[in-house]
Amino acid sequence: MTEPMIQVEGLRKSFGKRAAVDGVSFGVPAGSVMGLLGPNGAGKTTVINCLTTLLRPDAGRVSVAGFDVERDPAGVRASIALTGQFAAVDQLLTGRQNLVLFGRLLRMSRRAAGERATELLARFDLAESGDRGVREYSGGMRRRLDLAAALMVPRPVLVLDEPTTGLDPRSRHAMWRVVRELRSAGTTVLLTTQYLEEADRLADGIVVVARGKVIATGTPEELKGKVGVSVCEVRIDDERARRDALVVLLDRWPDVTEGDGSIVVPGGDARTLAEIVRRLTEAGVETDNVAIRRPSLDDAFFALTGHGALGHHDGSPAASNGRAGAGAGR
Amino acid sequence: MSGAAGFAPAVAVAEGGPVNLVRQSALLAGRNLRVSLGAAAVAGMVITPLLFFFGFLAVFRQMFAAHGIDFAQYLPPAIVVMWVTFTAISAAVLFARDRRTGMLARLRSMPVNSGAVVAGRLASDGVRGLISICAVIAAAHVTGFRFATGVAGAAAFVLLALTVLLVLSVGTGAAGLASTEPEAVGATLHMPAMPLLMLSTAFAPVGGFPSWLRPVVEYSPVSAVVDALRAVAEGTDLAPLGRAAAWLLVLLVVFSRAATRAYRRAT
Repeated sequence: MTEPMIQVEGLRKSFGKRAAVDGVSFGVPAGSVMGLLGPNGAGKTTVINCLTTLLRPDAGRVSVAGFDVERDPAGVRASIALTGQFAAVDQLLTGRQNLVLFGRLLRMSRRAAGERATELLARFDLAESGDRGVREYSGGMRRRLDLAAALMVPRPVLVLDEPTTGLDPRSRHAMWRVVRELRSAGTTVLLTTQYLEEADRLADGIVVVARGKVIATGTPEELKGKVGVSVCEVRIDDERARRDALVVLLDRWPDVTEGDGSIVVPGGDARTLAEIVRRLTEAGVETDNVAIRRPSLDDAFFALTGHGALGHHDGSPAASNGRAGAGAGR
Repeated sequence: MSGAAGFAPAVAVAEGGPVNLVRQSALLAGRNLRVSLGAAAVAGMVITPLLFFFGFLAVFRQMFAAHGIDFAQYLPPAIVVMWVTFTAISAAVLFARDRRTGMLARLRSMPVNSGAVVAGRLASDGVRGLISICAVIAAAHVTGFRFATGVAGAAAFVLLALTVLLVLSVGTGAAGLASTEPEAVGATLHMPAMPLLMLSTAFAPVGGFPSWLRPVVEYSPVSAVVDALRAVAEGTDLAPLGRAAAWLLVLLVVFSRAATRAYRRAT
């Protein structure tokens, strides 16, 4: 089509001597979801801040909906909706008061803002709590209200900075559903995330950033493809049984590797899978799960950077889901 | 071009202009007041300065009387300046909180007049300050404080006190915008505030200080402002007004520059 909805070319931004963003380029086609994926401190938020006119780029060109962030920041601001890393809503006001305030700041009449607030509260499952103080809201409810506030006036571009960080799985899925709905309504979405699963599930395209530079771009499938072929994953929680299995499998495939509670056998095809099961059964080793796994984005990141994955390995649902839930269907 | 039916047209929207400035400032001032005017906060704005007033008065009234000074007449401008300083410091805390919660980034990424964010803050500080100032004047009146200059003098007194508050708020606002730690910025600003207030003519005349400290007291901006407020209340010698105006102008220029810079950088 024509020019991408968001165009970033050679963006640089330093704070003192530290280059937070060091020559980042990417484009987001209209109506698609782009995931900006990277660990903490990779420069994701700085890119967002330049793109939303909060920071002036040191070098490079950034345009949103055809407006240049430096020459026409007002045009950019009139084209975007931003929700940041925190729920930027007032605790002491009610959900409805928050929405009405933002609507009226965007030149809606009191009445129009009230009607739109009612509509969004219902859509974001907040109708019953709309007149309660936000301080009584759960984290997930606050994020939904925050997103609703950004959507008071529909904009062609929605920017989400880590929209689900710190949310429980249910709230995360609710957020994902909303992003998908917005996309099907034609909104162009740029979201940053450190969760591989999130980018994988939501994004049409992914830009992987690390230390201020783009280290890979592509569709989730392409990025996963860069890691190579599929593998078979044998999941055994019991450590002794796993060691027994490792001995059995090493006998047949010298290049098996031991993962976190699992053993990875190269060659993700049905015959390998069947042979693994047969050999382990013959040896009397019990397994928790054996599955063909396409490489996860976690693997992709590891392969791309050659070092540790995306931080937050511990509690991140992405990391654990990427491993445990990676069944044959992916 | 993007065929984005149903979206607000992505044409350059004028976010500047006086209409937007006034309308959005009023909306944001209203929001600031709703956020900072809980029942406890209002009580704090009225009760705490009165506690200071009555406390100082009870302790020092007799002593000052012995030196021929009517402390009930001398003290109120000092309490007003002290409280106006504290109100300005709380403005810094509130700005830092808005920055921390992302509210500031949200407002700055919206087509909202940039002047409105600052004007809204100042307007709500002004309202909060006005409540405190009026409370102090009312209490002082009960204890014998009088405006020799009448209603016009009282109005000028309130106006000058509010001007001091707004100039200080621009400066503390700059500090607040530069910080993401509301508690830290409050504590940091309180540190210089107390000695500045003490080393001035706010609570004691110049003659009450040891001779080596007198130059500090005489040239203190706090003295300039407190003396000006007393001059307005007494209506006798209006010379201190010039000194106060000069100080306020200089501070306003310095603080505005700092605030503009901090606002542009605050993400």
